[in-house]
Amino acid sequence: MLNKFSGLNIKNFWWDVRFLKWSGQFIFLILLITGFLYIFNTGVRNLEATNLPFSWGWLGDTPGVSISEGFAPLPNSGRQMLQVGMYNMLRITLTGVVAATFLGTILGIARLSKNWIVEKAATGLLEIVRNIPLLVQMLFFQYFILTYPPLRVADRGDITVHVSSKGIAYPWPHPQEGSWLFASFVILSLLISRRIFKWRIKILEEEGKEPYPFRWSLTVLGALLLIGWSGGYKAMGVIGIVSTLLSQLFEAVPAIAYQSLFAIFSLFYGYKYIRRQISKSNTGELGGILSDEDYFRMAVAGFLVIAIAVLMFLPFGLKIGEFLEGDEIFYKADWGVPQYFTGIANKFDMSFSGDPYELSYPKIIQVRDTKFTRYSKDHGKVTTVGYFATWLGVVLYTSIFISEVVRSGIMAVSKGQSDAGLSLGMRPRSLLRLVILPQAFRVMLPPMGNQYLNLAKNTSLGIAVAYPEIVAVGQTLYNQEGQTMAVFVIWMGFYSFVSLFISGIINYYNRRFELVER
Amino acid sequence: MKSIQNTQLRWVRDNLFSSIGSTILTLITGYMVITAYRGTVGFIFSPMRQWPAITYNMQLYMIFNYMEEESWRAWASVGVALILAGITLGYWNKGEKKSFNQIVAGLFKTFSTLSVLVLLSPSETEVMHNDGSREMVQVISSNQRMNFLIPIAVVTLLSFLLSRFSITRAFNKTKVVLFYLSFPVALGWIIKVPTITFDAAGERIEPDLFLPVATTTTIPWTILYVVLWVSFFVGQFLQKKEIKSLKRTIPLSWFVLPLYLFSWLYKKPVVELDKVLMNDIPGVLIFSVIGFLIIQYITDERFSKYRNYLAAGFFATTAAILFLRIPFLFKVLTFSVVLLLLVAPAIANTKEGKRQLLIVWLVVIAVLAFLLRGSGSPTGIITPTGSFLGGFSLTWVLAIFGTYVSFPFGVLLALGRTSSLPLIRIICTGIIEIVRSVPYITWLFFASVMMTVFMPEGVEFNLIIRVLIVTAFFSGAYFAENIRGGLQSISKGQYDAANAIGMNAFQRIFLVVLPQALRAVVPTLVGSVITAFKDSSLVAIIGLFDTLRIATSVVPTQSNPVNFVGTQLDNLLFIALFYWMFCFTFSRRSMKIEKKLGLGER
Repeated sequence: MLNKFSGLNIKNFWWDVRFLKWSGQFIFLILLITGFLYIFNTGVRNLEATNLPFSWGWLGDTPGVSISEGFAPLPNSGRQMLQVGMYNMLRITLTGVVAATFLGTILGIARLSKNWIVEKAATGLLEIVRNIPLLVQMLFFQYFILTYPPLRVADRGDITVHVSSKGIAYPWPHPQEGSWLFASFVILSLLISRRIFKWRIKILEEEGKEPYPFRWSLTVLGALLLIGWSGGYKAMGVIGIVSTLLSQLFEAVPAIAYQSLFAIFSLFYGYKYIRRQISKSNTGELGGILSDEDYFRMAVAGFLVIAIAVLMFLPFGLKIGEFLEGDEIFYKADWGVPQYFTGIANKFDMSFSGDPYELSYPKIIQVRDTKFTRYSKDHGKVTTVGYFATWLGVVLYTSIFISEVVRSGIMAVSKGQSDAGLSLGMRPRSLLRLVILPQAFRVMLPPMGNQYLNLAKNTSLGIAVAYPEIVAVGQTLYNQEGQTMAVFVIWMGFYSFVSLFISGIINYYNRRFELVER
Repeated sequence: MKSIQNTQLRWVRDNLFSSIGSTILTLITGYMVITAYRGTVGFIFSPMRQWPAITYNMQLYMIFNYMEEESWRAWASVGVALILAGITLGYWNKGEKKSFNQIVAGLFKTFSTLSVLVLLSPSETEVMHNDGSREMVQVISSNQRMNFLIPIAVVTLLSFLLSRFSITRAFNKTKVVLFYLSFPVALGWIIKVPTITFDAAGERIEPDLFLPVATTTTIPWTILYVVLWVSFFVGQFLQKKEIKSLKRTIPLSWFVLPLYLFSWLYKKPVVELDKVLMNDIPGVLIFSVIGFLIIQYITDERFSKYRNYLAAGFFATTAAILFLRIPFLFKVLTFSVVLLLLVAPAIANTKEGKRQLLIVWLVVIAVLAFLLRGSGSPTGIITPTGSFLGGFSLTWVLAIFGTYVSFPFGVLLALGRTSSLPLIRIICTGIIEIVRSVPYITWLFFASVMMTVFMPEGVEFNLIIRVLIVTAFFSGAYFAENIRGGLQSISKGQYDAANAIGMNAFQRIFLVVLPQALRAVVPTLVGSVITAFKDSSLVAIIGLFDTLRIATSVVPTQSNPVNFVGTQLDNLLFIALFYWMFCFTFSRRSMKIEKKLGLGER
């Protein structure tokens, strides 16, 4: 084929390859959009015929339902109800990911063990859990807890650990005043000890002495934590002071200022991106020829940037309209930024004192002279039946698949590596840490991310065990309000967001660790 | 003897107690495993369990509301599948043999493990009552333990003695497996199980009497077992006769088998004869003539110019008539003509090729007409829920048909995702990401509540069909990612070679690229059947009566004439075992297939 990017052939325009390709794609796109619009219009027509038109107003209405667990058992609006559902789902996802990785790694290493009974037991567990549907396992855990005896009035009082058909209660530290300060202090200590770890490793490379990196960093970490616990956390009150200053700053500046700043930055960055694309093609083998791909990317980048700029000014534009109708002289678009910083300042007040966390024991209380008893929500921690069944089911199921990923990752490192390490005189433990795991980690990362996504999506089965996560809450809402389409859009948006977030983190680590090839 | 003991002791020392850490691990893991085993056995044999709930309701689990007098169709469906299985096993039998000593050694291993397990099982377990009190109840009396132990110990001893002799007689591996299958069938005739019986007044007799297994179960299973053996011999006979055409026919029959079972044998369609005469027969005749003309003249030089126009014309016709109210058969056959037009030029070059293509074409349209007539007619099975599918039959339908519909969709999405046209690639990537980012249960809610909103007037799909449509999208998107990996593994040389001999894009995709890409994803396909099998349990949440829903909502709510309230845990354990058996067998077979195909090896 001749250089297909030479000038258009006027004589044979209709049969030119480029024209056919692009017109074919556009026709396909138009057909797709037409089909989509047809379905959409049918939907709208059918919805209007049922007296329940599509609307978002129900987000503000008070639903008459209560949720069994979450930060707002009696939500005051549809929006808050959905937020409780999202909070419940994220609770399980975040803790579940950590637990499943931990358990999965142990199981994966167990499957590679030379000990016969350990290997057979791990393989047996894997085969059992993998071949039973997750829903069956969750229901099994739910009914298992439900076989425990119910709470009776005679059980009232303080308890240490208790299991009943209402769930499991156990002691748990409750955050007091200084908990945010202490948490940020812990993060700072971790960063400092990591810095010390890296410093000791550098000493190893430069001087060759044994630097004991773990001993140094862990000692420093322990010392810092002790100081922090006994009052040193107040030093993080600095954050509170800075937040107060920032909130005063944003209070003084009108919203339009930082909106326009953001719009200008995005325009500038978009312009630089397009220029970089053009200059990239000027060098290298292509030498000035841009492919369809590049044109497409530039067009999309330009479109996005202009969209951001318009959106930044749009609220201001809308508010201008209100200003003209209302009788206020000067109207600020209210994004709530100053209040946000004031809220942070309130949590990071330097004057807080006392233990940041206090261990609290659970309690069984009787509800106001009725026969109804329950665990107190303010004492200790209660794991409800739904949470227990969902969490355990999801963690067990995902850890099995993670163990497979770990095992295949470790087996992917060629045996020559461990032979070479052993022949250098490395101890087996250092061999695992310094040679095998770094290489295995690279192979393990993408499938592991896939399993995290599966975990996040499998929490949706909580609806079958009466756990009020977002799918269950959404179903209650659309049964009440009748707005199935809106709830569905919210589901899609939320799960897409969580998936993109997890994929983004995994991609970031992937790019950091991938092999740089010539 | 001394040398044997030394080897075994050495094995124990190396594998279990090689170092202090290893010893600790062995002790801890051993304790955990034994405790788990004893807990499970105590749970199973506890007097609080009501296992007759499952045997009494077995028909409910398998076919749910199916009409009683037509329940022979379920047995017949299993029979047809077993016939095909027997013929397959016999036809592809490689003649691998297992020696007598191997068999006896295997028996010894199994039965000695069983006797150890019987000895380890607990005699008492702790039971918790509703008022919080706990008591120890007996689960396995020493009498029962002896009942279990004696036959097992006898077999163990026998196999140990027999292994002392070295007998070189060898048996066909498959025949050995079939022989092992006779044990459950024979046991069904011999053992007595606790059965629910009613006295003259209709009251349940407690405790349950030990009666032999009902003949409505044992006789069909025995017949099916004999049928399996007979078809195995038929398959071996066909192998000896070396009928080559069966090599392609049998896999195609497996593909068509579920379609046949669920549109004719199990469904019992009420066929309207006038529709057959007016639609099917003219359609088949017309399209066979069209196919004959195409095959005859496609390679003729006079028409080679118009080939692509003809294909495009038929494709446009298919798209145009898709929304008209003509019989579905015509739409399908028009689309098949498009495929024929695209594939024929590469095959219908020789007289032999033309003959074979014509035969294939005629068979295909006859089978299509037959199947579509069956699935298009209303069913003759009248049930309270309106659907003739329920219980395990529903699980099978969702798994198999889910895979059938998601496969082409996945292939199309994968081809679009790796296309060189950016718009199509973006759209397909968008579809895959959107469909995959939301959990499956959300799509099921969409199918059950919202899909009806989007359909034009008068069009109404059964809930099962809607679930299958949604499964097509969802599983197809997952599948597309795996196929994409296979597509990207094909070297550029294949594309160049196909272009060099003058294939157009469609021929290249269907005849060169896809066969290679799909060969690499066959294990994933089997894995996808297993996943579809497990995901079919989710339809219990949207109201379809599959096995899981029957286990948790139908059986534990039965209170008249038998009271099974509160048996959720027992039913769930049974269901778990049931699913486990099938999924485990499938995954084992897929591992064996993977090894046979030599995938992953250079």
